[in-house]
Amino acid sequence: MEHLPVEVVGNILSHVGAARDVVIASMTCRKWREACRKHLQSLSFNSDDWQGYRDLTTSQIEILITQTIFQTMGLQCLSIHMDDKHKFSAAPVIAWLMYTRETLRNLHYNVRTTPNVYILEKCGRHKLEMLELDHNTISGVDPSYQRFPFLKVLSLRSVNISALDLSLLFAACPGIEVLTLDHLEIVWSDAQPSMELCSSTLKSIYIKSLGVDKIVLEADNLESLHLHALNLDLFELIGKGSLKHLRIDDVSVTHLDIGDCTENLEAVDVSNFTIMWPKFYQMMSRASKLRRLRLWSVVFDDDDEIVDLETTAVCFPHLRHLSLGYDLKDGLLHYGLQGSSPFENVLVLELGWAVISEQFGHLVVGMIERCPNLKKLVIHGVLSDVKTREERQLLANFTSFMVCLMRKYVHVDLQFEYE
Amino acid sequence: MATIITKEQQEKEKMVTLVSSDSEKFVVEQKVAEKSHVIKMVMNCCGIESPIPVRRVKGDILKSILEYCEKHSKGEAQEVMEKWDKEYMDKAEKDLVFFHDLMLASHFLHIQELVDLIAVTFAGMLKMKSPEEIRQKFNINNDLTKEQEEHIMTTFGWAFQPI
Repeated sequence: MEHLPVEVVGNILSHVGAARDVVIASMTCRKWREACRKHLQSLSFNSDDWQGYRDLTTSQIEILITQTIFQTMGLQCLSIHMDDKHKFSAAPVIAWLMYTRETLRNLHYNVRTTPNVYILEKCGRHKLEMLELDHNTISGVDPSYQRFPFLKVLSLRSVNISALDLSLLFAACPGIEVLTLDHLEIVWSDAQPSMELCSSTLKSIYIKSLGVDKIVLEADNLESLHLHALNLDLFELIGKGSLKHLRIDDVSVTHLDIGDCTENLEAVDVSNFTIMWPKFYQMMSRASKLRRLRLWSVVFDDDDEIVDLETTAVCFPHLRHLSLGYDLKDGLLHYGLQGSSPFENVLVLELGWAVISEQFGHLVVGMIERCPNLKKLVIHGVLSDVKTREERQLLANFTSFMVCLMRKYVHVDLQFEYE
Repeated sequence: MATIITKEQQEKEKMVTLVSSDSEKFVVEQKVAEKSHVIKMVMNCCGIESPIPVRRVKGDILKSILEYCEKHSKGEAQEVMEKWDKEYMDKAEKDLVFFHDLMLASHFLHIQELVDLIAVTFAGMLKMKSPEEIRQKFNINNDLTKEQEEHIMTTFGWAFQPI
């Protein structure tokens, strides 16, 4: 190892990440020590990396972080991720941010401070490309001097911020590509909380647990939209059809409008959601390039509705991976399986139940017959609900039924996944 | 027909010969050799007609590096590449001398993505070890002075606490 140049050793140590491992490696010889001091680009203090942090007091952790950071020059990535029992004092946190501000590109920070430190004010803004903040407060954003010209990834989790500051912050990031807003405590200035975001660079957005009634998102280049645990009156996406991935999980929304954005969709994943099938179908019907569709634990708004497989097969001819998991209502299955258009390209099929019924077997047969090129079938089931003798009998019957059925489809790989 | 021949000729013209330090010859496509920033610069200034000597890299290492460059010039799907990279690294890390030479050569040839790939694998080997274990594994001579060691122990004593 003597021949490796010191900057190469620095590169290796920069990929180690965990601060304790870096410190230990820097003690092997002079060259590695020098590499650590002059060429280290990345440091991570994460209580999940090393158990030892749990036995240290908050001030001991502050000291070791300070000493380790101050041994480096030119740190580009800094990650501080501790258990939420810790609360750092403001002074060392400010010192770390000031020491690294000229070179830092990525910052992850999740520890509360007392008194509160406004991270955005202290960190280097000129080079920052990624900022992930947890458990902090953002206030008094002033876009006239607080600008983040190179910021591409912004993630705010459990952050207190006012609606005004959020929109100012967003405006201060002209090149943003990935945005995560998770569990924000937003202080609203008006009675009807609504959020409007507009960006031509945004590619991916994840919105979770926001206390907001309306979201209007104008993003011409958005490729990935993920909505999670939201209760909305309105969600509107204004775009130019760049959307590829749409994921909606545990969302209640009165008006969902992604109108003209569906034609390039490749993957749609909807779970724990109430679907109005005609409306949903109308929205998705232009997504002729869809390759993956997952409808899981969905409820239909109208009791008479069911996923209409005929229209699904016709509309999405390129579908390769289809996952359907919802409770079958008596008498509706026949209607759902009507028609004969095959899922020509489906290679993987996943089917599941929450409460097992006799109809499930029929659904499996109906589906497997419609997928002539199927390679893999996965059956998902919930077993904790199987309590009565009748239910156990249903499960036993279904198992025997599957054994018989699969003799006919020996080329299909069958998997069971029971919860 | 005529257009096909021209195309083939063009393809032929894009081949370049690289010669390792132990005089082994490798004929590869220009776009493969271009993965090395250093070779790319040499090709830009000297052309590709005459063989390019790669003086500091031995044949077995150059062969492995060109295998990597060829795979990475095809523009395959990311998941395919990740799997391939993993297998490539699994094979390389078995022999630490070879692994070390591979790192040195890819640094010398300036193939940044390969340098980073090796660095990630290398970094993985350093996790949860003591300084002595690292020295033994990589055959490193401890040249730190007593004072330096003491300084490290007082500053970073926390990292050496037995848990």
